Amino acid sequence: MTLEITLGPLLFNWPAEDIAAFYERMACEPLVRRIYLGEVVCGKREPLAAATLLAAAALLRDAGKEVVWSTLGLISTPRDRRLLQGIAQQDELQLLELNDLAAMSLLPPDRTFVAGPLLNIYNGSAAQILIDRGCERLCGNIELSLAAIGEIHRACPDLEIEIFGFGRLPLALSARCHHARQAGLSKDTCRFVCDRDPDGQTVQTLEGAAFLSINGIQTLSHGVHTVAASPEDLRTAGVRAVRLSPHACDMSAVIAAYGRYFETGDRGRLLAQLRACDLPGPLVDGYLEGAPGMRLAADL
Amino acid sequence: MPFSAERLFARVLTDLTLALRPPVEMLLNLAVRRAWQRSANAFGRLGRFQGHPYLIDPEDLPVAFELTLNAHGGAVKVVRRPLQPLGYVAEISGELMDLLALFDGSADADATFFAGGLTVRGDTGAVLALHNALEAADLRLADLLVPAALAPGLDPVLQRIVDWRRAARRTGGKPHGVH
Amino acid sequence: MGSIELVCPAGSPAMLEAAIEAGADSVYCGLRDETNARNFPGLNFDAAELRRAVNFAHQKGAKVLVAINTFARAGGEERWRTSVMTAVAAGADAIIAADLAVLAHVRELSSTVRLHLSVQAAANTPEAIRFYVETFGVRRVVVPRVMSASEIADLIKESPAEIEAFVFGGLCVMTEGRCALSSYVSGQSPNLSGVCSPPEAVSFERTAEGMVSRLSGLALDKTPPGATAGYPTLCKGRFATDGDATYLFEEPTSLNAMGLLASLRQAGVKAVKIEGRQRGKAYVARVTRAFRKAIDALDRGESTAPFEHMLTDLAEGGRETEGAYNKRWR
Repeated sequence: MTLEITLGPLLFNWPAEDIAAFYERMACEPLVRRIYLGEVVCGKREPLAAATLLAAAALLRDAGKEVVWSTLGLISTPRDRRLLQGIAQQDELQLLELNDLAAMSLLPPDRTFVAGPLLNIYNGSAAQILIDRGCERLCGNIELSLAAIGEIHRACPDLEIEIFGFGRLPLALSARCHHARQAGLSKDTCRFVCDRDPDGQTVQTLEGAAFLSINGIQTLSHGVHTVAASPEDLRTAGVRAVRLSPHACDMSAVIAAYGRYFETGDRGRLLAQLRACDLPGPLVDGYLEGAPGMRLAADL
Repeated sequence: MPFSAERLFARVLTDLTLALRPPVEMLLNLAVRRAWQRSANAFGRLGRFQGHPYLIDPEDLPVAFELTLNAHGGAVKVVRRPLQPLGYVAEISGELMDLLALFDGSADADATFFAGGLTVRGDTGAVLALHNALEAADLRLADLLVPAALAPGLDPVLQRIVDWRRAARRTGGKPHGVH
Repeated sequence: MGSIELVCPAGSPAMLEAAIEAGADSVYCGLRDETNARNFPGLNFDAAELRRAVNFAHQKGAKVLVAINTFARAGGEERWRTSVMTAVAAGADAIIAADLAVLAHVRELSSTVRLHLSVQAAANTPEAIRFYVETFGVRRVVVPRVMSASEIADLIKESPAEIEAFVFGGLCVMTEGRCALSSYVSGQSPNLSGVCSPPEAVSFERTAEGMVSRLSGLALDKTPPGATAGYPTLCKGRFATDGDATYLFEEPTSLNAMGLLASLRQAGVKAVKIEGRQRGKAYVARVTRAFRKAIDALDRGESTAPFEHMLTDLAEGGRETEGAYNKRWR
């Protein structure tokens, strides 16, 4: 079975017209069957993008894509809670991806769901508890090594496993908005300054080494993560799908590069093609091998 | 190397101290054994750093000390200050009183750990382990390096100096991040 | 015990005794391995030490809460099961856990042992708490340090479990259990290995302009000669986006919410927690004593003001903050 390519939820605060144009392009991507939509990072952004995303969902469904609705990674305000309640009870959104376990007590018992990468599912027993509650797919936490994923697969062979396979890594969430703080504002009065950085704002050390990026309340890697394993090793570990996280670069080229890689296993070519895509940072690939996530990807 | 009277003096002092090494080491080892007897489990807390030599290097003394501890005891050697790294698991250097304060267990670990004036080379984890092991066992570096048998009256005096030094540079420490 | 339970850290048996002698109602501690989120070299308890510690605490009328609060490694879950068995066998008064697998192991082993939800699970809504209460019978939830006092008060109104809140010590600006900064740089993190900024990846370089602290080679901060440098964690470093370097995520301050004890009690907070299992017995004795006095004063209807500045020198760079409890922090 060939590896499935999915498109993860957009993590950044793009203008509505850019979001609409992006999903219009993605509707025409034959290699992508499943697309995750929804505001995952900041509840304040959600009303800005909601109408655009709902329109995109209809467009994508008409184009034959399976749309999965991703929920907020950190539920913190009464507004976030109401939003989650609303989403959990809407049948027409069909499959949901949960990124905060708060959703578990809101979801009707018969609803199936995807456990998102922002949940802390690190082992088979934890996965089994979610499976018993309707989880049909797990997108592994970014810290999991391929060996750990293989163990989860062995413990839960029927669970579909997806991994985060391309993009700046979602490393942390905070109650504080880093973008607002940078601009001398607070989270509550942020003026949505995170819209300045379509791939997040790069963070450098005192010595000028770029290593992280900030995106509102989220901290991402500066490096752009890619998979360190061969398609065969991924399949052996039980990986069924690889998630590409949207960036401002040419995502069609990224999708094409992964599609070719899963057919040929030619990693040198994957890296070369990705590097030609005007990425926001260098390619990194440590996590799958249990190494530091910022390890630079090297041709094998 | 150009001639320097100071350097020559230091050299002579080091040689003299090293000549006195056997009786000094005997006393030091006695101190380690006593410390071990007082809290037998203490050195086991060093975990993977058991049996690895640490260099304790008081820059205001003519010599340095090599400290090796394990679950069954340990040893202290008086050594010449190395000119280059010699494979110690960690080297901690600074003025004697700063070194004693780092390991005296009566202060907030975070506040003293990186107090000004000390230099840590090698594995920071090894230094943390030594600190935590001595702290957990109610031992101080002074218990290992300053044999009470040699100077029974020295201990309270030493403690007063250590306390005074700490009060003088009380600037606070820093928690380690997680909970 | 007063109106609020005072929960204090113990990184070693000596520290546990010091905390209890100083007036702790409960102490929390972990076993000496990756099953607890303070897996630093030389810290924590082995099985025999834990047994003795529980006996000591019970003789003194105090409780021992055992933190098994990391996420079990896939394929290595046996170690977490063993820790749960060790804690239950030692007579622990509660187990503090975050991982669904560990919570389930505890319940498989005992239907009666008290479960506290670790801050590492970052449960900050009634919905999240309800999930843990209904699924595992969790009795108490330690809430993230990123919540404000009024948010905690609102949460308590709807929470089906008791609430415990941090009042002193280190401050995580990132939501606990949702941060992989440390593993991104060093390969180890709180969730993966129970350690943030692992000491073996930490180094210091003394230069003419001062001391540079590094994690896996990356410069986190530079302090002038003679100044005290803190233990380097990524979220407390100085970084730049497009201008000058600043403390981008968090100023090097630490939490002291003693001034808010009265309002936390008013809100219905059941227990308050001191951070710092790695900070030694002198630290725990001083902080415990100060908070003991403050809680006792509150219970006599007096002010906590006389005790509020007793601990300033223990804060990072002497600077304290009421953290997220004070909404301005955001």
